[in-house]
Amino acid sequence: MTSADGRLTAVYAYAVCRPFETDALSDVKGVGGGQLRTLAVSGSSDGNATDHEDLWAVVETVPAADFGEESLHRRFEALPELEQLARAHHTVVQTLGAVTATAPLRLATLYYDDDGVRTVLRREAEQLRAALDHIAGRAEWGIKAYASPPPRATGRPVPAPPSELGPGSGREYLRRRKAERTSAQDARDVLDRAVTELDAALSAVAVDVHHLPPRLAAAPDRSDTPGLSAPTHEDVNLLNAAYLVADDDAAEFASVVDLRAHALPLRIEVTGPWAPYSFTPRDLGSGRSGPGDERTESADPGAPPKSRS
Amino acid sequence: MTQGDFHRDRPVVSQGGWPGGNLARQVPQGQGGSANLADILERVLDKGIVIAGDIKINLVDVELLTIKLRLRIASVDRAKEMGIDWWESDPSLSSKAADRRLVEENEQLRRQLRQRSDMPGALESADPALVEENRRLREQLAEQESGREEDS
Repeated sequence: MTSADGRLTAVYAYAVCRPFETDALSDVKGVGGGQLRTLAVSGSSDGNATDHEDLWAVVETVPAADFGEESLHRRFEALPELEQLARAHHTVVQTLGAVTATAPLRLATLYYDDDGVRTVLRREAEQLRAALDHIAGRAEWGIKAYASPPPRATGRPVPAPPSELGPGSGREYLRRRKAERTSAQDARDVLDRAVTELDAALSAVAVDVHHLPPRLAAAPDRSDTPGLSAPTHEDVNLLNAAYLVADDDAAEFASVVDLRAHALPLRIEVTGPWAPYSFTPRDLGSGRSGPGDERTESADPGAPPKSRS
Repeated sequence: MTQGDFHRDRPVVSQGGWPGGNLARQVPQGQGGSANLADILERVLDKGIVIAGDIKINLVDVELLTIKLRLRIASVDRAKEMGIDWWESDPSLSSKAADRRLVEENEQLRRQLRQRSDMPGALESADPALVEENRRLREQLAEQESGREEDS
């Protein structure tokens, strides 16, 4: 497509959603700084018209030069640019998530023009509707659990019970080491049980749960600590999970977190509500790639050849 | 519940939230916009529907892995400062994709070096940049392998 001033444009698609009051987007700028638009699709996947346009996509017309494959790869490699792009994308998705059922699309999903988006919406309408049904009236909550400070031993040695052996003897040393090892194992068991209990309690309230890879470091509270210190006991991320929670149950979910935070030896971080990023299908079967075959490249005859760097 | 419930005597941190404080969706904490970048990237890079079609660019998993790996090599210190460290525990990245890519690159570099050294006196004239890159790749590979041993 070509804009009024003759430049090539592309269409950046953020999310697929249910209809909403578009006023919600009036103050939101997109990844290209442009105006956000909605595209509506009616009809079922078999081509029969339905009563109303119940499937929307939120898109933005962007300069093709800034969103070509090469420039995107370059922008993705520079953290500040990646951050800017990710935050702009996220802001639009979150704004939508607050007002309607929203299925986010992967960052940098670009089409040649509006018709390309509509074609996909029509082709995948059935699965997109199912995905929206799953998340309607629900939001994603992020939970990260760490071992609660203070850790088991803050420099204090494990108190040694009276022994007939001299304090400096080799047997006494071995006995003390064994006691310390047992104590460390016990502490790990306690934490494992606490995480299991927390996860079970949250899952009981949630509709769905998705476990993410654990983080190594706790970033948010480090601003007052100059430099990166070695990871400590509290930095070990024991649980990193996303829970899909009905809006009506959000308060109950929060109180479960609160209750467990007091009862369990865990430091718990809550993030959210998020648009349900973790609860939309990653791949919609387009009929071309088999299930589980995630590496299958798009085999569109009309697709431009990919330039590999 | 009130916001205070979250912060009584345990350091429970809340971030994110719907923008604009939309109370219709029961917002239990502050306004949005301040979410941690690592949390955002964890979602926008790894989640979200991938739809093929009349599509200009489709950043499929393979390419995202490459991006993550490049970030890892180029700006790992800066990324760590910001709390972005998912590659540390991403098994597909840390123990498979990263290794494979480095092995492939190293193999390629070795072949190039070998071809040059087949020529008389060629090793001396080997591209210093190539030699340096090969050395660096070997170091990264060794790092990867030792990291993987620690993991298992």
